[in-house]
Parts: sequence; C-alpha cells; structure tokens
Amino acid sequence: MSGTIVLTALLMALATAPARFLPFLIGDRLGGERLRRLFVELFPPAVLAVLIVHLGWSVAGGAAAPVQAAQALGAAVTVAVHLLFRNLLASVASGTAACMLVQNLWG
Amino acid sequence: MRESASLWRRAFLLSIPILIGYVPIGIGFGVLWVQQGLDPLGAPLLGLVVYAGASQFLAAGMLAAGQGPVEIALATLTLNARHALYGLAFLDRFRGWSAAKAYFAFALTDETYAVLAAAGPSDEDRRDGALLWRVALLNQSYWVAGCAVGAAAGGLVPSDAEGLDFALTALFIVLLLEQARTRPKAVAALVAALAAAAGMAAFGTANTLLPIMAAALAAVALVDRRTGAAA
Repeated sequence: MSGTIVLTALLMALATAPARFLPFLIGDRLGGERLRRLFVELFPPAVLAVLIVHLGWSVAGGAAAPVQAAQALGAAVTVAVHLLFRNLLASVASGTAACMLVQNLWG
Repeated sequence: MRESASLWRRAFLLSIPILIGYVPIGIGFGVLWVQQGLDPLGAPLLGLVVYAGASQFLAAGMLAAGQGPVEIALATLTLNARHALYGLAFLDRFRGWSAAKAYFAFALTDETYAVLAAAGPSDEDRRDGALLWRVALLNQSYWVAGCAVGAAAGGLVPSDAEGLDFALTALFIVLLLEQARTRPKAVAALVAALAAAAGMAAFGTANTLLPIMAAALAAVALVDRRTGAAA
C-alpha cells in the first residue's frame, strides 16, 4: 500500500479525534440542568431531524422524478409500517424495499 | 460469562438496523475506492482507523483528484466537527477513563449515536457503558466488512441496486418516531427540521451539514428557552 494512503488515513484519524474525544474530556465541566436537558433530551431528536432532511435533500434535491418519488414513497411506507407494527426492522426493511422497487423499476 | 453473552446478544439486536445500512454503503465506498484506481487495502484501512463514511467518500475523490493528505485531513476535520455534540449525551454512562470509553468515543458515528440515543439506558447500563461499546464495535465491524468486500469485489458488485442507501434514512425516520413521543421532543425535531430545510434551501447540501446542524440546534435551544421562560 502506498505511503500516501497510509499517511492520509492517519491524518484523517487525527483530524477526527478532537471532535469525538472532546466531549468526553471536558463535558463533565459543562454543568447545569438546562444544558443537560438540551443535550440528553432535546438535541437527539433534533439531530435526527437534521440528518433526515440532509439525507433526503442530498439524494432527492434536484434529482429525477423517479428518485424523488422513490424517496417519498420509502419515507411514507417506513412511517406507516412503523405506526402499524412498531417494529424497527420491519419498518426499515419495508421502507427500503419500497424505495428500491420504485427506483429500479421506474428509474 | 452469561452476562457478557447477554450483552452481546442485546448489542447485536440493537445493531441490526445499522448492519442493513452500513454493509451496502460500505460496499459502495469500497467499489468507488478501487474504481478511483486506489489500492484496495486502503478501503478497509480507512474504515478501521478513520471510520467516518462521508469523510471516506470525500477522501476517495480527493485522492483521485491528486489532493494531498493534509488537505484531506482539514476537510475531514470540518466535516466531522459535528461529532463533538454526540458524546455529551453519554457522559454519565462511563465511570472514569477506560479502554471501553476511549473506543466508544472513537466509534461514535451519526448512526451509532442515533441508535443509542433513541434506545436510552436501562438501569443496569446507566453506569457501565458495557452495552454501548459493544454496539459501537459491532457497527464498526459491519462498516469495515462492507469496505473490504466492496474493495475486493470491485467491478463484480452490481451497481444497479439503486435505493439501498435509503436504509439509513429509514432508520433515522424510525428512530425519530420513537424519540419524539413527548411534546417538547416533537417540537425540538420540528424546529430543527424547519431550520435545516431553510438552511439547505439557501445554501445547498455540499459541506453545509455542520453549520446547518449548529444553527438548527441553536434554534432548538432558543425555542426551549422561550417556552421555558413562558411556562
């Protein structure tokens, strides 16, 4: 393997480390009930919402109609199946299957 | 021994949705990596020591375009800065520093955070974090395996199975449905989604996740402060 790839991997690991370790190093000093409520209760659903919007927008924004339709249908099926059965695996699998079906048959 | 087996079983059950999402995307990365003319061993190496999907895809493109390691590391730093938010949700799950805690900090990706933040701690897991590092380790093993298979199989892997990457979006949707069951959490999700949509409509999605996430979380904090003050 070339030295460039190894060096790149090591520098990337080094660049990722501060963000991942910092909260565990200094987080205990960030006291306060309100801060804890934000990070433990409110930010997790907020982060998920941002990631969903970002993923959806990245894939479907400006994409062809079949891709947009597949993403929308996949999301609708995921929500519907989950509200019906409350089974994480079934919801993810059925939503993904619906998305793939539309994208591969229509696309 | 029995307790360890039970923890591994629970960790595996929690990690199954990640398995569905990570393996195909890891394979996609491995295929892209070798198609860029890069050494196949580099794909699982990045999965092992970097373990950050978006940055790895970015690195493949930048290496193929002739960019140097320092430029790629700087781009990685920017792209992964959002991870600084994630660890704060798990501070009370470990006592002191240990190899398990250090590994968990390293392996806390978007998806691992999403699954574990949604699962919440059970009483016995609240202090030891034993379940957390096991889930993280399983998730990374899926990712590295996907990277290796993609790099090894290269052009043999069918590239027409479009839509498989929706598994991660579906996973996030389900976790959000489970998370946002109380009014304050649902409001937080709605505020963040609206802020993110506005940000992406204005600035697009290329290299904007960190500032948009920061702005969305600031909006959530602001709304929480106002509603808290009004209550």
